[in-house]
Amino acid sequence: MTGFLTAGIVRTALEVGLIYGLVALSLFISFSILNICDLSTDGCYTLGCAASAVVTIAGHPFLGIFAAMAAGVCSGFVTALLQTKFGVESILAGIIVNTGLYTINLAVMGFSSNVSIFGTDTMFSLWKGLSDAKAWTDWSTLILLLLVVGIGIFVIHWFLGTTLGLSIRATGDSPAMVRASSINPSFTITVGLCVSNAFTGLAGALIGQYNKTCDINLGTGMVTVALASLVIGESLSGKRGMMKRLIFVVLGSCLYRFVISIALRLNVPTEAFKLVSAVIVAIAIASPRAKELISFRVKQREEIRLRQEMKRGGSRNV
Amino acid sequence: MLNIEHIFKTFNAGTVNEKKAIEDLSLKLRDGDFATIVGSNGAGKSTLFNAIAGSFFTDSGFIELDDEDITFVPEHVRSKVIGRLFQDPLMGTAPHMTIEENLSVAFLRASGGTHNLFSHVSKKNKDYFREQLALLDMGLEDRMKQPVGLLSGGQRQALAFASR
Repeated sequence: MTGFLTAGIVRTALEVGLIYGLVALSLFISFSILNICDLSTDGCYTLGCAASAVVTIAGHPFLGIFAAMAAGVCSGFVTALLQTKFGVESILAGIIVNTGLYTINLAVMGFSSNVSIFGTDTMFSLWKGLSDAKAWTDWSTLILLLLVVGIGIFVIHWFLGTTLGLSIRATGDSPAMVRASSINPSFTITVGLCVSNAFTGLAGALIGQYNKTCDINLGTGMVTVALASLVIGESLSGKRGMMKRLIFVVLGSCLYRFVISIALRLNVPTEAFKLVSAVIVAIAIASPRAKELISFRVKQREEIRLRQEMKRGGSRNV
Repeated sequence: MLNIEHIFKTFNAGTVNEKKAIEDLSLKLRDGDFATIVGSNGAGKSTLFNAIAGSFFTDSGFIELDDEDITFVPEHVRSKVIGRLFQDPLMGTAPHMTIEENLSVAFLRASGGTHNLFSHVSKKNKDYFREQLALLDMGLEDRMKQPVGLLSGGQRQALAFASR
């Protein structure tokens, strides 16, 4: 097994899984909590990456992270504005913003479709430079990502427990109750989407500095992957306990990356890769219901068998 | 005192489904009045309450509460002074949030917006919720951490009532 999955492969899967986990956390806020399907994720992810890449090239990798989050907040604000003030359907609002972001992302990258940050310090290279030990250079990236995601989970958990966070949760759960509780749903939706997109931007920033490059098509399909991770995590956690749910969302993302790396190791041809991903997602989403169905069928068959036996037994008695 | 003067409300105006729900309705209720509104299906009873609560704005006329014009005050602002129990018992509570969390949200309204946005519900408030729920005598005070969706319709309505 060690030959099949080397430490390097496991580590990479975990690292990328953690970064994608941040996007899954973002969708957790918009999709699971606010009950809004925010399709601007793809563009917002690239926006975060572009913003951070540009600031990193200017020599401020740390500032780049915050620039990306701020960019995410702006993107979320526009999406929310379209929904709350102008009554645009949430899916449509996301698509509109996503389309607009393509041009904005190009503009951020100086109208080139690709920006490389090789040769400049990134968060990861600075962190790695803290020590020369072999173990540290191997694992420093993973440790940094664990820290960032850990802080992210902690912040979201704290935030959702505040007065504002509870109002946001109630907005997604029962809008009528929220209005009757003197909470302005437009306000809570806006704050929720801003926070959610800040995390998408953060993930984009991290992947940019991690890969040392930013591409205009980086975010394509991101929303599907993140939704898949979210669904895997949510079905594993059984939707009990906020902290547990948050952790499982990130675990879902890591698990997803693992399955992908296993598929890679099994030499699945690259052309078939999208199909493999789609099948994995479909299985993950369908499995809880399939399990229910199977156990129901088994029970049904058992009941029918018992009933027939009883009938047979009954007729013998007569 | 509630003062409603000549309100009109038409749904789906200009379409084949046009429905004149309220036509030229005026109503004056003084403090302490107890009123019962009776009417056949589609008479506009619910529409009247939705108009008062602010679920939509009326087409014309005005609504005053304690001499203050609330005709164009949005629902979430009105709800600071108007408590409401929904027709549908499921609407007044959030099913995926716990009893405690539901009461916390409702408590925002009761405390009149003096709450800090980033404060957590204090232990003292939680104890207060528990005390108030115990008054309902439904055993809900021992199920504070359970999602409201697990309660029966009646229990949820009672909880919504306790929240108001």
